[in-house]
Amino acid sequence: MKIKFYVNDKLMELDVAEDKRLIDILRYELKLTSLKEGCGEGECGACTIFFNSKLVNSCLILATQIDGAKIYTLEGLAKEAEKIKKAFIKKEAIQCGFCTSGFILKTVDYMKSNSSSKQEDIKKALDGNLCRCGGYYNIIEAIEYAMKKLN
Amino acid sequence: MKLIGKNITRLDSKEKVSGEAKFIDDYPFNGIYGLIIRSSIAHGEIEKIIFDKDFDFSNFVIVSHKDMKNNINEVILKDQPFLSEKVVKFIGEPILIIGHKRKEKLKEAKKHIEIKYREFKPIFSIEDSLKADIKIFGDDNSFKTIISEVGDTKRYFNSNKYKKFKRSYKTGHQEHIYLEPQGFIAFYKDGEIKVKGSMQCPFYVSGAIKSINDEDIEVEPATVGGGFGGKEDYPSIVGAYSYLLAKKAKESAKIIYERSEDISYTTKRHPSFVTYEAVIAKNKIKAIKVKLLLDSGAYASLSPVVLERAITHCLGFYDIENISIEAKAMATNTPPNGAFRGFGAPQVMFAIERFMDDLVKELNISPVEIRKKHLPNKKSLTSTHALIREYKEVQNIFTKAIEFSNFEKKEAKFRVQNRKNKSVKKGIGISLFIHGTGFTGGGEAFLASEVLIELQKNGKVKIKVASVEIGQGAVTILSQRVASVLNLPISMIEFATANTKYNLNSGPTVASRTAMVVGELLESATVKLKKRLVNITHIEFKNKKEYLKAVEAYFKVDDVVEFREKFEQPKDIFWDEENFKGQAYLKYSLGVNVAEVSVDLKTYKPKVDKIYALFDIGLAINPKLAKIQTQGGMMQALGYALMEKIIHKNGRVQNANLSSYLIPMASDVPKMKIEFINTNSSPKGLGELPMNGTAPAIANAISNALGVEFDSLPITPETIMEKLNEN
Repeated sequence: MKIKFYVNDKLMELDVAEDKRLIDILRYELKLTSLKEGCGEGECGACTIFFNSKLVNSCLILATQIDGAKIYTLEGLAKEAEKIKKAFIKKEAIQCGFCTSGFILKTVDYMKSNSSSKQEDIKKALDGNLCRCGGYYNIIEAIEYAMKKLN
Repeated sequence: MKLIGKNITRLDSKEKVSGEAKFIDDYPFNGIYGLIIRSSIAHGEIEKIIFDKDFDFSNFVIVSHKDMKNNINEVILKDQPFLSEKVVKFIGEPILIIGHKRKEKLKEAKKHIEIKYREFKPIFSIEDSLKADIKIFGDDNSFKTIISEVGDTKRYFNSNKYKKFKRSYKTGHQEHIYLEPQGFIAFYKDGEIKVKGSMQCPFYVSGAIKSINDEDIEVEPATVGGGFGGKEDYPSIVGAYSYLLAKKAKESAKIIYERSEDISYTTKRHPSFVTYEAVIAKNKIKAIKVKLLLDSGAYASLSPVVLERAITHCLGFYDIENISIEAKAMATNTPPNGAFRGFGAPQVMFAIERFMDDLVKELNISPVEIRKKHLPNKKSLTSTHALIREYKEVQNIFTKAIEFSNFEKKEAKFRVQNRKNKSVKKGIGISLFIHGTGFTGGGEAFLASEVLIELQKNGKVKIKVASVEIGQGAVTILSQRVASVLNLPISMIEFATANTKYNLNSGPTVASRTAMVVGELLESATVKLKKRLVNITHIEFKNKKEYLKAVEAYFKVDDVVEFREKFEQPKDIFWDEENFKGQAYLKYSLGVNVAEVSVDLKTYKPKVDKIYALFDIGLAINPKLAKIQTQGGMMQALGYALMEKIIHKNGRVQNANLSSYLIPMASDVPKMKIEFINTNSSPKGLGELPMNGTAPAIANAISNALGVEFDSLPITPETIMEKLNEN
């Protein structure tokens, strides 16, 4: 099927199978590899992207849903994510780096619609993203730092 | 400024935070995709493989055991084939590899391959394996049996004078759930193959590949998304398959595991069944019999060494004079188990620390008192008959931890609270634990690690070792160790990706050995470089400016740029491999965890409120990164304690996805208070230590909260409900 959609403000026109997943279109067709496949079932959050202003797991979106959508990956959010990236580096919130893109996008989304920089509130918002290396601590601290110091 | 002991920002942050760092599945790829065809039965023989005549297999590449000169994947024993020729011993055992240019075609093709088996009766439990009516391995199904004696246990057990106390503890599988699944690409160009993938040990992979057709193939890791031991030996299999496909297809070949495949078929933490029987006199264990059983799965894999580490850790560093150990690694018709952070220690440290607390109830003393009674002294011996050299450090860390956590006051406070509060019970638990760093026994001598540094014309020093960055910060801390010797900023150090063609084999990235063993070798090699520079140029450089002058002067008259160092067994470390006696490890790291928990009696849900952790890892090369490692390790151990469980039914994993195999999330994170002590001594290992103490501390806390003995992991709400209903 033919689909027309925006990725990082660029218009894309593709002809793909109906059951092709958005994660595969983004990673293999469009070479946007910041988002990763950790589970293929929407549990780990490593493939998180913005889809019509909402955060979604791109592994769960099929071609039939993409036509007309406005999509942003980490590559297209350099400006919005700049402060958050700095906070992640400063607070050592990165270890293997596989979950990082997902957490950064989650943070962009959290900061858009939340004013609480309390660790308890941040923790709750992070439950859709898994991290196995760092134990979440430094990610939580990085987000707290980004909200308090860099906003 | 000496960089060792400093909190410099980790060196790989920028490329990871921008999303530019390339994991294996991120590389541009043009070639064929591979899929493994696996056994659907747990035990039997392949009678026939039928390719459906009505399906077009002409564009498929098919690899079988026939494509290999040698089909044995020798990890320790020579029992496991790369691909099954006839016998299959677990559901999921690889039989064929199929490849096609279009990934979607692979699953379709799989439906058109029928394998006919003659089925044998399978073994799924340690108990059935011990019976040995059905034989999977040898005569008794044991991949390794170790019997060890220290002192004279018979004297105590044969006497009627003493009180005896016996308890058994059980732990299940744990899956690593590295966020990045297993994956490899064998790049094919002009008849040459180069293998790249997700791995901890590139030389293991190149060694495994070479053993197949005697070909020297260059192997290199991509950015690796977590390992935890799950990428120690297992990647040799995936790497070998990608190589075999590429060789046959004469095209690049890629294999990336799906999460369900990864959970179902890759190596896991060994389930354990540990029994202690102790003879007690005056609140002290006079003699102890330990029976230690591990479920190895269908092939030996790393089980013999996991068993060895379990034996060397099964009594912690407690002062016990008479020890009798019988340990076996048993075969079952399930996927082979392997390395997982801790490597046998988390299982037995759970058992011994629960045993100490269970003894507390029997003897009516406190968890603090019983451990104090058993703290080692200068005469105390380990279970392998060596002096506990760190006895002072053990006494010190335990005493400090009681104060640090305010254990005794809290215990009393919770007791009072629990009398009043009927809906939530609070508890506190402690664990004292150890981790021997580096390979067990003669292992480091066997590895004979070598490191190489290369002086560049611009003065930068390039590190060329086998250590792989898997998230733990290896690149950063090894660079810090080298920079410190020369008093240079970190920007003067380059870290070459661990490549089997260009780097030296400094050993695998495992066993908490990177900072300590590889780090020390690198320091020695750098001292050699410094000495040569100073001797030749007579410039005693103290900073970067002077160093660069020395380098300039050096290259005018000399051209030696490579500096190496090789591991030598320290003269004071004695090890007898045959009798399994002696100093089992170069050094031991120590820890104490205190966990505070609340258990909701309506939902039976346990919540960890706070963890106090004291660690003795000697000098932390980068204290900030070290702290993060401990947090991550303790969260992984929290998962092991409370929620991670592989459910098997007739040899098949039932919960092979992340919605039913649960790992900790952000909201599970407790308050943590972490401190490093004894930081003036030289670096010891850290990677695995945090895995060893958290589960027993939490289990002890829950047992304390509810007044019930928990003897298995994980302790889920269902476990708590059942236990409370029992009592």
